[in-house]
Amino acid sequence: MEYKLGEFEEIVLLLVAVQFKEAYGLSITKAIEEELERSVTLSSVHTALYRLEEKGFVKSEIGGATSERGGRRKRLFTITATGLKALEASREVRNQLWNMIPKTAMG
Amino acid sequence: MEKRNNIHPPKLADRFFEWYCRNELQESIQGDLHEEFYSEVESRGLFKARLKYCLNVIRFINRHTLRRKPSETYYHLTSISMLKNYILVTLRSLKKNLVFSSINISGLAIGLASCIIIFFYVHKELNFDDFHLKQDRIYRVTNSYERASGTIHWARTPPALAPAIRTSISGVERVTQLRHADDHTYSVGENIFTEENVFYADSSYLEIFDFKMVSGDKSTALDAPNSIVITEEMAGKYFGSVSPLGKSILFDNSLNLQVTGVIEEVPTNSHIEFDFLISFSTYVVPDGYLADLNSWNWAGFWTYLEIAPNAEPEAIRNSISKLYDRDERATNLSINIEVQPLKDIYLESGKYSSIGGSIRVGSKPTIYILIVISGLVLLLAGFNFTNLSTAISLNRGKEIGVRKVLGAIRGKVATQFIIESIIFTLVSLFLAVLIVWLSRPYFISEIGIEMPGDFYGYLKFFPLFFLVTIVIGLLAGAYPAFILSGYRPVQALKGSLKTSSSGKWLTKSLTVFQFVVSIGLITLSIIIVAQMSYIKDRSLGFDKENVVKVRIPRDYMENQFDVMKAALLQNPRILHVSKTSHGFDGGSGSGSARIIGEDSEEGRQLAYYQAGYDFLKVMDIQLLEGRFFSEDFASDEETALVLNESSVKDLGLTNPIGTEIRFNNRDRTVIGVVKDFNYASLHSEIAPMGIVMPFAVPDLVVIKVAPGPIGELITSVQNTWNELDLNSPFNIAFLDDTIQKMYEKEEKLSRLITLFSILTVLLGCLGLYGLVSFSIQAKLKEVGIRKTHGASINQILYLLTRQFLGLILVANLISWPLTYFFANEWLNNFSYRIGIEWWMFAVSGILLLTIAMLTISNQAIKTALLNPITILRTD
Repeated sequence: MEYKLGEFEEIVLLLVAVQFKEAYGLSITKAIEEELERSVTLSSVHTALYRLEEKGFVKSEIGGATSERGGRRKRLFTITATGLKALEASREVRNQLWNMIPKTAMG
Repeated sequence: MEKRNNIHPPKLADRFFEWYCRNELQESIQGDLHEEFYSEVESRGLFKARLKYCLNVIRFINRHTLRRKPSETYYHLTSISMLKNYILVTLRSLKKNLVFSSINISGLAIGLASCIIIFFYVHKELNFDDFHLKQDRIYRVTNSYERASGTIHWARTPPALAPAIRTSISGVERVTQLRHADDHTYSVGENIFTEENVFYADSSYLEIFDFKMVSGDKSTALDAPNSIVITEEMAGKYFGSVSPLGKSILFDNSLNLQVTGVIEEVPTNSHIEFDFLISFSTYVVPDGYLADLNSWNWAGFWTYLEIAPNAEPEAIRNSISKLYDRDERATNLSINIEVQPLKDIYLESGKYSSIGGSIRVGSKPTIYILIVISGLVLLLAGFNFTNLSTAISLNRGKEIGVRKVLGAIRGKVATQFIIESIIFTLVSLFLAVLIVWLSRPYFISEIGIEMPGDFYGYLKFFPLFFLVTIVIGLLAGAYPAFILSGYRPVQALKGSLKTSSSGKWLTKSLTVFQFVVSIGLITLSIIIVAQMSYIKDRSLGFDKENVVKVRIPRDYMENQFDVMKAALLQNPRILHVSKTSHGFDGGSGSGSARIIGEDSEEGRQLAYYQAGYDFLKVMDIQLLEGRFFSEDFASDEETALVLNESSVKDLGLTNPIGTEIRFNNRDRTVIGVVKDFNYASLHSEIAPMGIVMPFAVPDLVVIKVAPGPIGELITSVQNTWNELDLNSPFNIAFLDDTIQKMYEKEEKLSRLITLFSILTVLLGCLGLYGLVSFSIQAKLKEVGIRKTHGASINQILYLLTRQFLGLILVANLISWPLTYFFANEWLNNFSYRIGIEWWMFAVSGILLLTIAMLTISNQAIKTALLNPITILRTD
């Protein structure tokens, strides 16, 4: 099976896995900005999440309203088994490539 | 929290977001946006946070967030298979509720049919004289006199006016004048007839107006003296199949007129109605008139203008007024000239005191009444349709439920009902056209409504009818569609649907409206019938019963009248015999009158009759003062004048007897005053009039007979006629027939309105029937439970009927002032009118109540007698 993951999608998917059961649009956006020190808009994270959902890598459920949100509930994302496999596959590809780098090149 | 109230995301952006974003995602995204906004406010300030918020809202527009069109997820309205399904279901429900549905469809069909019929009538009335190509440039010159008693409008003008306009007024391309020829005999060989619809006219008349010439030359046909133009029908009547051109017709047994042209039948929407046109140059002012064609005060001619395309009618009116103002014509100082556009002539003829014969007159108020009535009938039929459709559809809960469960959204269920409604209305339209077609002969003969007899006549208006029908279908279907599609599937699947209180409110007001209209129309028809019989029976000022009119040739009248009178009086049943110039059919002479010795140069027009001795006895006209013409006074023939009450008032005479008046260029003395009698139509005020002894030879003999068998009398008169050997057709008429004919139009109108009021009552009852079934269905369980608890049938009946009694009461209250207003407006068109009385309203109220109760009790009794088990078991 082939798991296609874009670079940005991979990061978002990783963060959904990291923030286990607590991941939602804004939390991921903030994490990307803080951990990766990279500027990103809320809408692009949302779009990535919906795309991942379409691919079946994450699933979402409604829950967790807070007063900052004016009582609105969050859409909480959790990674699916397929999503995990996709992440693993992606890591394996990287690892394979890492292993193929000649020792001399590493100095 | 205080802070929160002032710091919030831009509302406009929020609203925009809510507008475009799908419902499923809206909450979570907006939550994220707000959360981010408040943290941004703290770190970067309000302005930047707001800016970012706005940008984010815009950035969020993408394929994941945008709303989808609902129909995309389901199916298309235009899908043929769905449409097929709709039609199939329509047919099934039609079959299932066959009786109810056919009542529904035929109710609407009857409503539509009556509207189509009224439409044809109104359409014709509003398009009078529209076949003249230059209709926008044709005007009639009329005049009016201001009087203390009011303004008197006169449709005819003096003979000198037309030539004066022709020579001195610019902007007028053609002028023509008409003179009515009264009744004369016309003969070809042995064929001799009396014709009434004859005018003297010149060639300009045929050039201004577009009457189609079959043969002859339009521009010259009426130039030469002794020329006559005849219609095709007359050509057939006098000459058979022989070509009439160049042949001659003998006028009054004395003058040969040569046929110079034949024209097609005068269209029925022409305000001038004629069979013959005699060249104006043939016209000779009868001896005794003491006037000539140069007169400025003999208002006996119709003057028509064709103005230049760019000319201003107002400017022309001003110049015509100036013609009157010249010194030598100063007898008519206070005359106002009006130029009346051709299109107004027919409809605005009501205001003229003296229109003259052979002119068709229309009535604007009648048209308005008819338009209002047809609008009401249409509304009524539409409401009925809505009520009944809703009632029928109440049993279709299961269908709606199944549709919804299978994924039909509300709009789709509504579509089903609207399409059904449109199909039903189209069937109704088809039926309506059929009804119109079948009832055509009745309406043509009994009510005088002309309807096209060919297919094209209907096809021409079909798009209009079609459009109106579709609109009715849409509107009538919208209510059931809206109500029924709103039920939740579970509720609907349970079977019977209950009406919401808001729905009830609407049906109730529709029903009240129906009753308001029904009551109004019943009352209106009562008032119209009462007014018509009042007009026919009373206040004529003379006795129309037992008076016979016989027309005799003028030459005979001149020499042999006394012989005839003596011969007629031999018969004991003949009481009095007299002669007159006019026969109470709307016409009269008119001439100018001025009190001798008064400084005022003001000329007044006075209508007049020329009548012989015994005229008052024949007509039973009441003499108020002085005396009538008498053979004892030799001077009466030349100088006597009898005035009616109105002219005494108009001339301002306090002691009329003996007053010297210059009338029609003769000095006369007033010898008597008679009570006002109606010589014209009762629509118009009795104009000032006088009676003089004949100065021109009249042609009417009026005979007062004793009551008794008519046939015998006619034979007796005819025998006298035959003995006298007159070369003239025997022409006898009863005065009451003449009067009847004058009010034919009103008579027909009252028949039409009666017909429509019956119709609206029927329609109203249909609607009531629908509403009753509607609400009884909703109360079925209540009835069942009450019965099990021991309620009597009477109590159940009371429960079921009381709300309708209330509705009818409310409808009565609303209807009364409205009807009063309309009826009063209509009655005000008559100079002699009845008062509106309370019983007229009471009768219609009780009538409607009775009919409504019959309709209701039919349903209510059926329900009340039901076994409660059958009702309660359904749940």
